[in-house]
Amino acid sequence: MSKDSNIVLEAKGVEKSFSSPGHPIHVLRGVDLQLKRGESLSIRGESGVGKTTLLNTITLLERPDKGEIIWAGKRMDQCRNSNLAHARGNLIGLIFQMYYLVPELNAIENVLLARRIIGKVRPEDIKRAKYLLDTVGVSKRIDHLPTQLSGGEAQRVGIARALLNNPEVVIADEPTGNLDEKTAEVVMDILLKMCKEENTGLILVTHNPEYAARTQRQSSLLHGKLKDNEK
Amino acid sequence: MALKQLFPTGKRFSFFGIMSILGVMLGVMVLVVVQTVMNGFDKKIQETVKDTAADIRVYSKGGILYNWKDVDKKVKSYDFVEATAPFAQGMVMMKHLDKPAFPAVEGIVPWEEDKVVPLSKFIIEGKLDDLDDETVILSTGVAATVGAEIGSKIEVYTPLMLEKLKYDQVLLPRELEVVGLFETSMNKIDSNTMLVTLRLMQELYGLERGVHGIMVKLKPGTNLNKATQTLNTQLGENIKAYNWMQSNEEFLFVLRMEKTMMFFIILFIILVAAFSIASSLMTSVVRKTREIGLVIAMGGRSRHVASCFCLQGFIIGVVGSILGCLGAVVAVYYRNTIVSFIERLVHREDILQDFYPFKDLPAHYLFSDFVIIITCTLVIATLAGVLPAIRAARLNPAEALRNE
Repeated sequence: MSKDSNIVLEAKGVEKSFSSPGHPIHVLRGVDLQLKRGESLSIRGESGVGKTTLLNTITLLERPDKGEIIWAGKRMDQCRNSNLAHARGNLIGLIFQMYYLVPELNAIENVLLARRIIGKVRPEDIKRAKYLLDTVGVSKRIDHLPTQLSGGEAQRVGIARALLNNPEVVIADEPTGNLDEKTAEVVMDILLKMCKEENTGLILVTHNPEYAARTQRQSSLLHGKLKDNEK
Repeated sequence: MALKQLFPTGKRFSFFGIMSILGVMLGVMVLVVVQTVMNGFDKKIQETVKDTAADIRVYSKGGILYNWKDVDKKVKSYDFVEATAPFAQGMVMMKHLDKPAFPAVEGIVPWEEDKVVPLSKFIIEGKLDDLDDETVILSTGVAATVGAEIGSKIEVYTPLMLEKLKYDQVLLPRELEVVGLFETSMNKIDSNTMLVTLRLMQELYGLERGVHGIMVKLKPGTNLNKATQTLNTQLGENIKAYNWMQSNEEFLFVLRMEKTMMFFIILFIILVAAFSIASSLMTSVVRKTREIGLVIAMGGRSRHVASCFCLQGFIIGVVGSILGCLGAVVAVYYRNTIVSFIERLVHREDILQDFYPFKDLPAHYLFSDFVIIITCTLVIATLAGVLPAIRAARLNPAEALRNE
């Protein structure tokens, strides 16, 4: 286990395979990853190479077959699901390509959902949700349902939701993959700016080399292993 | 979350929510209405049974109570006794215009009887005061059977005549004039009863000065069972007292059974609604797979996800119960209007009176009915959410998030 207290997320020798008729598919073959507080890391790779599996494994939505997952200095891959859930809600913020806003909830309720899931919503949470929605530029749309928001607005709400609980790390899985170029640019600006302002670590999975270049560290997933790219 | 699923922001209703609530509401409403009307029937019938049978009847174990005046005096001495009246009862054969009938006959002392059972209330033609040793009051059923009316002369034959024949004596039938008709709403009594004076009954049955028993009316608020027990223990070994509930135990049991059976039959409406809730929630689990995955990915625990679906069933139960109870109260309030509407619809008036002795549909609320119905509904509705809840809780979040 790493003794560096600045490391908020660490994966050591993570392996993951899926059973399939004939022979198992080895997706991750010993992935090592470290992310420091406030650091940004991009992960690129071809479609189907296992980027989402890697994210699911380091967030422990899927358990690794081998290796260690360490969150904020604590080994988590052997924890019980109930302990994992609490830690995940407090330490990790997730942003998805398809936004995944709850259709029955309006923008602010979707943001506050992140807090409601791990505990009671306090007045300061509502204040912070409003601040975040204002910062991402959708303060005038807080009462709107997801169906009444554009793709860019929905993703901005998703960013606010990911940041609500002051997580140590935000994990964004192709956050601009469903947006047009101009909107994607705006969303990416907001994401990077806010992570920097909040001193939150960021793992960004993207196909876009320009967006990847804007993170502090870049890496590629190839043949089940993560390789650092030279900047 | 459960509330938002049922009542989404910006929408007035969720179709699933409203249909599920309507199902439960209808079940609860029908249950409450039926139970309340059944209570009304029970109450009316019990009141009539009590009115016709008297609170307590005291009998002699030997059949005829010769020292009835002593017993009557002793019974009257109890604080809880309001009035008493002696009676004699049996069967006779009667004839009017060659039409025979075999009614039960009750010999009474009219002015004393009226203090114990509200006899005057049941007289629909004629007067109780006109009853003397030469007259008779018939139930409407007997009068209809033999075609008698006020002023008709009937002939009465008693078992005593057969006794006399054994000794080659002939006792002529007694001719009595009909001076009244009565109706109690109790079919058993109305179809086959006639009233004569106690003196005449003693003569017809050869009872001399004896009677068959004493009817007792208790003061209001007296505990019926305790009073019966007191009389049984203190009136002597040869005397036995029965209260109206004991005398009609089987009949009252049937009434209770009817109500219970009705409850379970109608409970099936709520069960059907529960299946509909379960099916809708299961569909919801499939439809919301990605959102369930999202909640777990964001730190939600499986039990929270499960409770969200159970809670939806519970909320449907609560709202459905409240609306169902309110709807039932309104329906019961307007019950007679509803009956009139049905009568007009089928072009028949007074349908109710064709089958029941009531002009208006009776109703009586019991708090315990509401408690039982609401409790059953909440349990069933919450259980309806259990299977969908288990399925939702077992979803793999990563797979759920991949769900399209």
